[in-house]
Parts: sequence; structure tokens; C-alpha cells
Amino acid sequence: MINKSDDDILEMFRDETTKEEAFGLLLKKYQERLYWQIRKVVISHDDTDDVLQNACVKIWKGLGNFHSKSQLFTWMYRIATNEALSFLKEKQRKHFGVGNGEIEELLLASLESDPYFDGDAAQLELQKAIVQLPEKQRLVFNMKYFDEMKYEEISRILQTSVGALKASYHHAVKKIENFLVSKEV
Amino acid sequence: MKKDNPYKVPENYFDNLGAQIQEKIKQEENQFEPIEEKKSLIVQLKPYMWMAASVFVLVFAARIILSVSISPEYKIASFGNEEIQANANIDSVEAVTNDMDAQFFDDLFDATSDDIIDYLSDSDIDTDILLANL
Repeated sequence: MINKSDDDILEMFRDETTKEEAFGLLLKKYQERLYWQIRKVVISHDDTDDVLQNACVKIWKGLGNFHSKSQLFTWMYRIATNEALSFLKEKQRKHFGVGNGEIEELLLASLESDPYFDGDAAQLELQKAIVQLPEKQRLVFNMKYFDEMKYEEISRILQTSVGALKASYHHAVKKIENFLVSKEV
Repeated sequence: MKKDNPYKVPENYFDNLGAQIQEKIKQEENQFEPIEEKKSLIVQLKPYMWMAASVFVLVFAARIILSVSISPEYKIASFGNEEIQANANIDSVEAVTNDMDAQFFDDLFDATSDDIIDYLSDSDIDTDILLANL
């Protein structure tokens, strides 16, 4: 695989004759990271596949107007995250109508029925604890704990201050610990 | 706590993903084409729609102008105004019009069908103008 820089890919994308090739290179470079970002939000593989395709269509449509104020990957990550969160809200609305049904019920159901979950019992309990976190804490925890991203990078993607992210992560860890301890008792 | 990713994907999923996404983009772009055609059709018809609207407005305006200039009511009204101006002994405009209305209706109620037919046949009335102002 030819490793082109983001700037080179962008330049190719702006040329109609190499536009599709450039997008192919961009997908090859980032598709897995985008997939996992979405998967951790929506849990089910099938839902992730739908959301990722929709997010990529939006990236394709917006890429021509992308300016290098932020990193290309940060911009794509933000689109994927927003698309995943919108999908969850729509799913919640379809299941519970205008009532206040909890999204965690749907996520737990997805987790338990997903054929592409291969963790052991401890990992399943950890994932159950994570899906019960509030949306923002869940995002921050996944990006920090599993993806080992820096707070500064998460801050650019979620457009939240580093201080607020640290607080969210701290609360998330405490809640997960309490959840796991309560399960052991 | 184990840090391993417990989620998996179908075999070779990422190998075909790029092609699937590009296929989806092509489908999306094809879906928008008929809408573009519809829009362009409206754009094409727009000048003709404006022409039709202009002709309609012109016909409507001409009809109003013609009806005002040849309307019998207009002529009667003009005649009444001249009478009022000429007659300095009348106290008010209202009195004149009331008298005229009363006389007109008295004559009308006394007339028989034959009188009306005779009047219409004797009078030099242009029926085309009357019909045009219906």
C-alpha cells in the first residue's frame, strides 16, 4: 500500500481525475479506526456497518470543502462520532417514541445478541458497565482507556475542554468500579 | 481489567469495506440525479411560466380598463354627477340620488313585460357591449 500523506490525498481528491482513487486511499488508511470508534458507540456490528457507510458518504461530500484548520483525521473522527450518536438517538426514538426510554437497555440488548462479541465473562461485565455510563463519559472512557488517545486529541474531536474530559474520565472509572464491585458481592 | 478489544468483525470485512463504501457513494449520487432533472425541467419552463403569467395579467388589466370605460353604470354615474353640478338649488347630493333611485324603481315596478320588450327593441342598445360586460 502506498503511504501518502493526508495533504497528498487531499490534493488528489480535489482533482476530478484522481478523486475516487484518493478517497480509496483515505478509506484504506482510516477505515479501521473509524469503524472501531463507531462500534464502541453503537455496539452491534451490523449497526456499525450502516453508520460507517453513512459517515463515509458525508466525508466524501464534505472533503472538497475541508480546510486544514484541524487535522483531517480529527475531522473524520468527529463526523463518525456524530453519526454514531445520531444513530443511537434515532434508534432510541424508534423504540420508545417520545418517551424517555433508556438507551442503555438497547445497548445491553445489542451487546448480548451480537454474534461478533468474543470476550470472556469479565470482558462482558466490563462492557455492560461501560454501556451504562452517560454518553459523554462512555465516549471519553473508550477513547482514553481502549484507544489510548491523549486528552488533547480527544478534546479536539469532542470539542470539550481537557479539564472537563479528565473529570468525565474520573467519574466513568469510579462508576465502572462500583458496578463491577456490586456484581462481585 | 483486561484491555483487549472483545469485539470482532466478520472475516475479511475490512478487505471489502472500501469497495462497499464507494459503491454506496455511487448509489447515493445516482439517487440525486432524477431530482436534479426535475429541478432543471422547472428551470427550463420558468421563462414560459413568466410569459403565461404576464399575458394573463395583461388580459385581466385590459378587461378591467375596458369595462370601466364602457360600463353603463359608469355612464349613469357620470350623468348623475353632471346633473348635480348643474342644479344649484338641490340641498344635498344624497337627496338627488335618493330621488333618482325612487323614480327609477317606481317606473320599473309599473312596467309590464311587453313594455320592457318594446323598450329593448326600440332602444339602440349594443348587445355585444352588454354581453362583454357581464
